[in-house]
Amino acid sequence: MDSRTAVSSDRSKAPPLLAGRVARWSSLGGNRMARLGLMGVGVAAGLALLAPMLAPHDPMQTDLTRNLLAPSWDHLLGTDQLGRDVLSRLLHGARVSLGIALLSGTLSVVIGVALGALGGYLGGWVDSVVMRMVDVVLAVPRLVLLVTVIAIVQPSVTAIVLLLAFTQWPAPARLIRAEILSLKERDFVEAARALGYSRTRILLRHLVPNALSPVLVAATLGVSHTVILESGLAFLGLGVPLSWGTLLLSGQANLLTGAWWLSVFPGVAIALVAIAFNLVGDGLRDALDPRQEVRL
Amino acid sequence: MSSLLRVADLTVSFPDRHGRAPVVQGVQLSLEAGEILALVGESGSGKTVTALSLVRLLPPGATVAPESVVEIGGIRVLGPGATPARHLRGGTVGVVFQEGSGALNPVRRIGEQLREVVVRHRGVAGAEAGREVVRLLEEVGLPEPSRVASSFPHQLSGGMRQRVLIALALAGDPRLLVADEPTSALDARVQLRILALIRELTRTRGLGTLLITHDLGVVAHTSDRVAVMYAGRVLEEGRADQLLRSPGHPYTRGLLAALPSGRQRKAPLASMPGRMPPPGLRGAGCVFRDRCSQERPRCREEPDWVSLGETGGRVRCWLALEAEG
Amino acid sequence: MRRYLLGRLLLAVPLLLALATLLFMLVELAPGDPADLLISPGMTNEVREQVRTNLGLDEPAPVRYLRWIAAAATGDLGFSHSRGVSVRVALAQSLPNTLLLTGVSLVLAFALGVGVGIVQAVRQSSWIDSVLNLFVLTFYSLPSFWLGVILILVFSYGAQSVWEWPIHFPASGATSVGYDLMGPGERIVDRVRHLILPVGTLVLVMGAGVARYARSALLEVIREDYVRAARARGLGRARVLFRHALPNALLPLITVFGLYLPVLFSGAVFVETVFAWPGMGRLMVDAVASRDFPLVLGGSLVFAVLVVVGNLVADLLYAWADPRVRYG
Repeated sequence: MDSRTAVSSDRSKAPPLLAGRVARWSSLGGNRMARLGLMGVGVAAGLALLAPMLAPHDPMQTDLTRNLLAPSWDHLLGTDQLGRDVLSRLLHGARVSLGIALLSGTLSVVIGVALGALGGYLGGWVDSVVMRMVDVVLAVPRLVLLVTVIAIVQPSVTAIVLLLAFTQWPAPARLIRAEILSLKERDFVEAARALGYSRTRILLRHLVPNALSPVLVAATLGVSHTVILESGLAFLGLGVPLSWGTLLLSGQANLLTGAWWLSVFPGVAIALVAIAFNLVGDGLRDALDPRQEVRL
Repeated sequence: MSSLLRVADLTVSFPDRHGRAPVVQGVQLSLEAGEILALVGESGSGKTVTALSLVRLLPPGATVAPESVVEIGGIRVLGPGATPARHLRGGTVGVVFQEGSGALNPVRRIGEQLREVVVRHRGVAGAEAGREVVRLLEEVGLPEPSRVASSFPHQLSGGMRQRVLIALALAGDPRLLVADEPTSALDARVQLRILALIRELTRTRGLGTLLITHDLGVVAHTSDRVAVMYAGRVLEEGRADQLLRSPGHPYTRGLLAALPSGRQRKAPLASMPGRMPPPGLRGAGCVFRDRCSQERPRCREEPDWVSLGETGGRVRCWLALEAEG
Repeated sequence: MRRYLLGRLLLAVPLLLALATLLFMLVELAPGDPADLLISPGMTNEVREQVRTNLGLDEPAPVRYLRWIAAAATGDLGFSHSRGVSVRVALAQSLPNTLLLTGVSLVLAFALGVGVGIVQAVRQSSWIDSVLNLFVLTFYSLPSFWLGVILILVFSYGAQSVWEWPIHFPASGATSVGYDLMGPGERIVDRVRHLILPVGTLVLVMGAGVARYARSALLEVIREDYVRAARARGLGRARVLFRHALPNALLPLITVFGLYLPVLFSGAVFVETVFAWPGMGRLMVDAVASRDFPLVLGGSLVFAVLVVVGNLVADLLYAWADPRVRYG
């Protein structure tokens, strides 16, 4: 109740490590919505992994006599303009879309954390170079940059993963840099320095683990964003086959034939995955640091 | 006799793991017009909760026991049949917040913030309200009141902001002033001036002032009477000079002993061994007995009030009863 | 203040230069010769060389780079072969449409988002909050291009052909055929009708994002002491909310506004594609499809300038809204 008890936080103590805070979250059971999201992510991952076993048809098998069929027992989600089974294409598409999002997300966190931590810790010209790189990447709307570059280099899984990561890393870089800038003035870092630990050890053992939680939150929320962005690229014709966005593209092409199932189901799949990751991200944020505001 | 403020059997509980824990228990206070009563206690003693219940600004989740009575000017303000809060807050009761706590809105000018309270509680508007704003700023001793009125909070010094906060509390023309640690964030010289201002306003306006503080130095400078709170209860009350000279409760004596000579105000309050028990773990009997050096078997029972001599001082301690009889 | 502005704009110059260089290098790496697109198979090599010379493609890359930069600095961004006009003209034709679409969407998205955020914060943890949370989360997670397709499916195709509702909206373009023949009143109605679905798409998706920020910003501010203090002075709920809490909660939202511009333009690319809206986004997508690189480069640069200017506007707004911030 008394305001002074609330602000009497001990500056000399290191904040609890990420692992500890995650443990606290799971021990509290998280909130209901976050658990729902985690379940959704699990289901999506399971479906993607087991797609070859679960898919009722070959996703590539065309049958022009059975094209644009509305959902039925034979084709639960209907068929597309070439007679391919939409459900099977969605299940196989989950591997493409989720795989690309997770890979590029991980890569962007690795690049961003490395560059952001170095910049924040070393300061000086290293920091300037990193921050100018961030500025350049952020200067153009991400989609415009992606569209331009993918159009030049031609779409492939590798190109899309790399480009998504290269346009995503500024977010984790800025977050970790800000955290490290504030952490490095704290007493426990002074103490580590006084104890004669090397700069590398202080950075890797003391600073980075303590600065990771906002990055983790942003990365989780970022996956949902990337799933949407990747399907968006495919929707613009800059994707790989079977991506959910590619399915949507064929849906739009057949929109005025009334084949609603071609547009509705892939979109629902994208939205559900995005919602699931957002729920997990929100839950993580509430658990790790209720006051943490996630930017971008 | 009808006091300006009468608090009786005030009990406020907060939810905790095991249900509800009383944070304030059976508090009794009274205050006359033109008088300053200091409510002294450490963090967590319940003094702020007591003050907040006077303006019904308890945080959500807090419950007030039905037998609790808070009356201001004979009118019940808490519990069944209480008057509407909006007239109470800022009107009948003005709250002086602590400078540095962020009680001033950073993006609005001082004049605007004062003016809206004047308009709300005095029923004046236009140029009249503007003149009243300037008059209030003058009353709290701010030079160049018009300049202050057009300033933003960050453009003023800490002492000036504290004066503005006092003006804000006075803007609704209150009968009762509640000052929550009004000087803790200020340096010693400014502190003395602010306390002198509060004293003067209490006299000239005939206010009753409840001064919430953890600092016995402030008490000595300012107040007429003192109530000492510990773990949700008032343990001792009496005239300030009397209580500071010959404290009746071991806790009060501990507090005074912790004050270095020369009455330095920044002294740590609790240099007694042990810690105050948190709400929910305050079992039966005297709440201070765990830390009391003179604990008796009898202290496992709750002590009742014992009057101390002719001066109206009283204390909740079995030792005082022993001494008397 | 003027010095600050000037400094900020000067800082943007090396940024844009770095970006232009990066994009130019990428285009150089692109496979294929842009001249190929202009040349039919039957053409002779002489004609082919003539085209290359006309396009300046026979010169070495560094020369073309310098030429391009120098020309770009004067506002000459080259010739768009897919449109048959200069890049500047092509951009000038589509920029107003994009600004109209994004401007209207931005204003409405902030109005809607802040409104929803206020309701949620005031009714925190009530059923209204939960229901709105569900809506906000859903729209926040929806791909804008898909939402656009669904809106077309329902309010254009379905409303017109399947259910025959009295009201339906056009699915494509910024104006109807025969717009030039309409009177002023009809023109406005026609414009608005064409704006509704694309703007609705952007507003729903972006408004959800704004609502998330607005809710958390307000909840943060409501806990502040000056809000409690304002209540202690007996001020009414509405006054405390709109005069004390909201101005402070809007401050971080101004920063969000700056951060949102790239998101907004990305959204515009999708929405313009779905609704065949003749704006910058669709222009870029078309240019990419026809490998019209001068137009691609010019379009990217204009988007970058828009982002730089938008962030500057956000900073100025912040300084105007927060008396504690002053730029010397």
